[in-house]
Amino acid sequence: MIRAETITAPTREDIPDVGEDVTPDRPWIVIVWNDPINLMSYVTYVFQKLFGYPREKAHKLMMQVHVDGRSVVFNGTQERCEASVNALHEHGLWATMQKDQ
Amino acid sequence: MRGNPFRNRPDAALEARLAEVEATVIRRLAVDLAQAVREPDEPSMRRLFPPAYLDDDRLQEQFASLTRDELLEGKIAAARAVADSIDAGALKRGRWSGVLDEETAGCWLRVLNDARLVLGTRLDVTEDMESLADDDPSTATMNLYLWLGWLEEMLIDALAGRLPDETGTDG
Repeated sequence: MIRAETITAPTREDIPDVGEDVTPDRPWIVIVWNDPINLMSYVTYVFQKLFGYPREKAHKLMMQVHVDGRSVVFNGTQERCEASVNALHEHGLWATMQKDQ
Repeated sequence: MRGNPFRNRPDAALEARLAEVEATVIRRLAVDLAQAVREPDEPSMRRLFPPAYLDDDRLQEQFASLTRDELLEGKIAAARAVADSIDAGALKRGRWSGVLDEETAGCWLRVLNDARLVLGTRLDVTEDMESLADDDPSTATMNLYLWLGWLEEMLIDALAGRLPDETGTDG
């Protein structure tokens, strides 16, 4: 059983910041979509907990989800994005993944 | 105003104090959830088992076959952990108290959230929802949904205090 808490926390080198150039070997992105049920504080907490993002960045991503309806919260290889989506689903967030356009 | 029922202890566990009836309600929700997730294709379960790929059926099928069982078993295990932790607590004069270790507190958070997702889906809640009329048949469910939201906020408040402020990536 994969528990979200045991997924290796991404390190500084592993996570390009959102908006950073996506290199050819990491062409996948994870999107979290807005929903009317999840608490804003919960979404922020999950971003901090799962991705190790500082509170400020987690809050910014959550607000993007809330205001824009979606936010790219992670990018990386297909395998790592699937692990992230799975962990987000374990936490009840509405997450999908796709190839970066 | 009511204080936070969850308190951090120095040993990283949480102390939880609720009315006995509240603990009973949470236990019931957890038991119901453990049962309900066994039908992941039911409409009210859809939010708990969303697709990862929206426009690629083959990849989505692969993803679901790899993750669906674990996701489901994880939800059942978390619900059981919540029910067990309530059973392990102490009852005194209509009050319940218990200690939640770090893992169990995480189970509480996910189970409270999943229960809200199921209730919210059944209630068809929207972000700008007007309050229900007093005689609306959904009032009891709505009150439960709102109370769960309060309880979850309290739990997040207790848990978020433990997160390191800066844990790696840039801000």
